[in-house]
Amino acid sequence: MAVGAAAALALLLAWRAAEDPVARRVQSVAAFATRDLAVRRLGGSSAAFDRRYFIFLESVRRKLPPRTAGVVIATPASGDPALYLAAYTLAPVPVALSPARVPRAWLLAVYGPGRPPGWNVISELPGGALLAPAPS
Amino acid sequence: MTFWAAAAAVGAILIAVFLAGLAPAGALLRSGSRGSAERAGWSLLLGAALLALQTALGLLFGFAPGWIPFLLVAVFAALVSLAGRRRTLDPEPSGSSGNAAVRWRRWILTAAVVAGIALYSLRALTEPMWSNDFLAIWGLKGKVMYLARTFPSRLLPEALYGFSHPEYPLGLPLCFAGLASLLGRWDDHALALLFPALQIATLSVLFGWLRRREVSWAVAASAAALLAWFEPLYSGFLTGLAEVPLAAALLLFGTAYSDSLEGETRAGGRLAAASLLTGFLKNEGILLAVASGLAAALRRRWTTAAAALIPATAAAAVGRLASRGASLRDFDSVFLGPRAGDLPSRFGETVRAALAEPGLWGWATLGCLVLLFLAGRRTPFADRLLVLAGVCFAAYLVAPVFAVRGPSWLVETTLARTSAALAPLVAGGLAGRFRSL
Repeated sequence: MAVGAAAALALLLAWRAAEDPVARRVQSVAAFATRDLAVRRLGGSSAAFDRRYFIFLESVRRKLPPRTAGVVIATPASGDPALYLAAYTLAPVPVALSPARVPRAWLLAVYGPGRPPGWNVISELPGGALLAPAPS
Repeated sequence: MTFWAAAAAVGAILIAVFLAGLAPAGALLRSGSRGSAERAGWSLLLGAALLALQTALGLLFGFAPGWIPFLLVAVFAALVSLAGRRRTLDPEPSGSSGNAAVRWRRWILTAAVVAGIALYSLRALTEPMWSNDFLAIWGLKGKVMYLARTFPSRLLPEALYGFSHPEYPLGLPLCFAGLASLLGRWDDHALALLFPALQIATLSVLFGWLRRREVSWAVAASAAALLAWFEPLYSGFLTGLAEVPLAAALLLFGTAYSDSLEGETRAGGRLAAASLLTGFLKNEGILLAVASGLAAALRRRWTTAAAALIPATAAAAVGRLASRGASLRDFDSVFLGPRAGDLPSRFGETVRAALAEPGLWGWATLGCLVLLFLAGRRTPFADRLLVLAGVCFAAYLVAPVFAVRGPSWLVETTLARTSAALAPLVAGGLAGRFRSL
């Protein structure tokens, strides 16, 4: 009975492994391995829900001034994946997704065409812009 | 830097981490060929713990984690280990390599283990670590600690970052930050190599412990091969999360606990080390250590109880300090008080959701495990591992009753993966029941 049960278990595990797209994984590694790390994330699962959103976040990261206190992301994309990807991509800079009020000294990153009044554009980015509070 | 260059660098770092763990592992386990695989597995895990330790010390005392602090910590650990080392040899196994059929069987089982490792390595390294929980919790904290050189609770406002579970232990993020400090950059693709390395360490401990417990080569290697192919644990999704390291630490804990209850030399030290590892990795580890420690205390096995309880409790206390007292976010104690009347219906919902989880494949797999259990013989040293796995699973079934977002939500999002982390304990327990084969 033991040998039969172990053999059945091995078959079940092999069956499950066979469902994994091994060939596609190999192709993906071969295609992306020599590319920049950000390009590899862009082509991966975490950005799949909106790849342009990741391009925007990566552009924000590259344009952030040193010692930025935090960034508010204004985006029509809502939900956990958009928040987690933003928090991780911009870490260690604190991030909030479309809060009711922008904390003092934080920057605003707008994903989309809108440019809210009272903010100066620091940098136009692919898919949006990075803005700082206009001097009052 | 291309992926290949970064992965080669992380591979070399992991070899250094393994070497750093050799002396402590040598102090905790007897010498001898039969236990060499087990010692190798312990070496990598203890080396990873030293790596996390040097990172934590750097954050606490304001120096940059890197090669020099890591070497200093490793040398200190080696000196302490060598001072306490007593050289005792395990009896060597009889040297016959068997006939042609036995040799073929060995080749096949070895190839199966290697194939399982290769498949998981491919899953883990296909792309940068990507799961939501890596981005929101484990990777986020590691990246913050590496880039900002501070604990996440000091930088990320809890009101905004509750989703990152500030109350979770920091062992894995510290390990990520430590690896990045040795690599000199945050590369969340190459760092994923840690996970196949942890798989190899787990398989080594499983095989080595079974062999030391005089389980036949074929049974021990079969257990390692089946575990290597266990995709619910060794998946792309769980790469970057705490389940794979926790699975390794739970196996260390279970084997050391079983050895300690039998009064084996040095098992108390191993148990204390494993308790510390589980406590710094996940709250489930603390739970297991406390439950096992209390069970040992009830049997008046004081050394075992202390070795299981004290390190994990200390790890929990340190974790609370590091998180500034953050409370468990997903659970509500209101169900122990004013809403206690909801408990029966919530438990019913939990059980219904749990029964719907496995699917056809899952039930068939569980059926095979039950048959293997029935085919084996009562073997106390192995059965203890199954009891520990059972205690953990029972706790995972009770926990959703207190879930803020409802029992079904917690079962659907966590039960399968937390249970998958028990696989090494189950593999060790079931294989041990075939010692007489």
